Amino acid sequence: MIRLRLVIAAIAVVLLAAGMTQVGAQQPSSVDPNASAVQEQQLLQQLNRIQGLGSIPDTRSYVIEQPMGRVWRQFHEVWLRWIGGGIIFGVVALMTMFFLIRGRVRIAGGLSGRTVVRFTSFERFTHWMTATSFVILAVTGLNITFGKELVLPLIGAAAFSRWSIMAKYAHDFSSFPFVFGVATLFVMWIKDNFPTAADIQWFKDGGGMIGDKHVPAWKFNGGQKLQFWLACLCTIAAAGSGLFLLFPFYLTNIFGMQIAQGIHALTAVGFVGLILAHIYIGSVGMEGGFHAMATGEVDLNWIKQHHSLWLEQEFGQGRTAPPPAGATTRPAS
Amino acid sequence: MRAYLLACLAIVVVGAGGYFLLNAVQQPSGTAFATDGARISPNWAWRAPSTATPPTASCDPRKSWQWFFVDLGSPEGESATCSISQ
Amino acid sequence: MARMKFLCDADRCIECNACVTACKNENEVPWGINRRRVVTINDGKPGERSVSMACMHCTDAPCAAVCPVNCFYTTADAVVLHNKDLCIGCGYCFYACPFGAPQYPRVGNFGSRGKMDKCTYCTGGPEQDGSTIQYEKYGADRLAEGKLPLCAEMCSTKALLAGDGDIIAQIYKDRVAKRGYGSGAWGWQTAYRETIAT
Repeated sequence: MIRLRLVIAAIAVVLLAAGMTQVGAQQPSSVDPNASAVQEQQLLQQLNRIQGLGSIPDTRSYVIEQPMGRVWRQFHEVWLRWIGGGIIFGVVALMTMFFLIRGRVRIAGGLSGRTVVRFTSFERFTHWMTATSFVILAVTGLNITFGKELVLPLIGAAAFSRWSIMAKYAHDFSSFPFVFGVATLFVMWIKDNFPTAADIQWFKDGGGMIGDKHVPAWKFNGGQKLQFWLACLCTIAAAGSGLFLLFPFYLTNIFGMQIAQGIHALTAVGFVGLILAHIYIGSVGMEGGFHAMATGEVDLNWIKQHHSLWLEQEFGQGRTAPPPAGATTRPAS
Repeated sequence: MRAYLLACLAIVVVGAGGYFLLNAVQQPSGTAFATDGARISPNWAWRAPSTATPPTASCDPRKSWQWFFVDLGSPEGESATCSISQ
Repeated sequence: MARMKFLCDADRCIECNACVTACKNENEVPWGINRRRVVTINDGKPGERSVSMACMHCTDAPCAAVCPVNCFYTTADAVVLHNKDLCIGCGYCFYACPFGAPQYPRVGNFGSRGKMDKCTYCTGGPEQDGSTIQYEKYGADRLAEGKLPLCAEMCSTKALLAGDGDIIAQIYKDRVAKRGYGSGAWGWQTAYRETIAT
């Protein structure tokens, strides 16, 4: 009897142990307390960003993952270099070819010795304030993108760092006189930059750059008007995005800052290309052109060739009796 | 020529004006990200090798005009590490 | 050589901020600089989750790539560090960092943010290991003493793991197998371009 009870007890124990191991084996896969919690991939798919709530006042810290940062890196390190380098090289190459093929645009009939006042001293002051700040902005801005490739190997890391620090301050503070300058030029010259019928003809005739035609124009020809409007648009885009960069995270989150930087960089490289062409025309490209902005006075033959309609408007109809040689004719007002 | 020189002067003057404008919105992060009740003495900004004693190097809080040149060098007599955390 | 990584087990983090406190204390992190922080998603709602985040020391670190003065470098342990003497405070590393690791001592305009500061994996910086100047600039250098970052050491639930990537991945895998669930290694796909198969 006792042996039978022992056997039954042993079987019971074995069954109990088997039962327990069965239950034990099921426990790990039973309950996930975080089943309803957010998943990383789900959040990334929804927002492309993972953000929550932190305990510190710096709200930028509430974003814990923004893979867009890697995309922005690709933009800044790869795409921007190609686009910017391409634009600048392209414009320089184009101008070089144009100069070699077409040469300098000469004054028809040579210098007459008589000059006409084209730009007042205030116009020249404003233009040069704008131009010099632009050059500072361009060089220091391009330093951020291209400096470590072009300049750092030449002067070493420590010197390049010191140069870059001064460059970034110069960039920030030159932006103010640049924007004031462009705003002043806009107000001063907008009335002379509205498109007219003469501009359509000017473009059709190749602006006098192809061939030697005298193409009539008012104070600013079609090309100059195009430059005016493009420059104003570029300034609005670059300065606007620049303001976001100057006061980071005041109005935007991290994605907004990346977009602002992207707009700023792309506009800037386009602007540099535009101004390179502008500098070419105003210096090497056209004989007598630089004088307009340097001294304000231009040769009579030059103004007859390039802005004949403006000459008539400002100084009366037809030819007047030639004054003594070397005299300057001022606008009748 | 005179117009050009005046233009360069204008750049410097307007740029300096811009500096003072921007300086008005510049704050150390410890002030920007802390409420008034949490403010402590300014030498929270500088690390000291020993946590028990306060930093022995006396770092004076930076004056506003010194911020402009801060990255070009420290003011006279200031330890180099004072600029790291300001 | 070890390839150092962080892993925050989002199923274990209880938002105690011990990691934040440990980092702040060990590295004498100034006020306003947040090398490590804990962020809670869906705070107070069902499905709340907390994650501790600092620099992940990425493979092919985007911060290093965009720096205009190349002030970053990667150590033999794959820890991403930077040189404060070269840093110009432009803020680009923050735009590129997927995790918001770079911190700046001044809040304001481009170029005046001050020298960037971030989690160094308790490895210090380019100065001499264990020197006073290294501590004053970058904080503690525990790795040189053979220790792991203090944030992971102090984690109350061992949610935050630090160490060689393979080892902590294995710990995490074993953990997930034992308890039966795991939300994955948050940030690993973005930082190291790999996930842990569980």
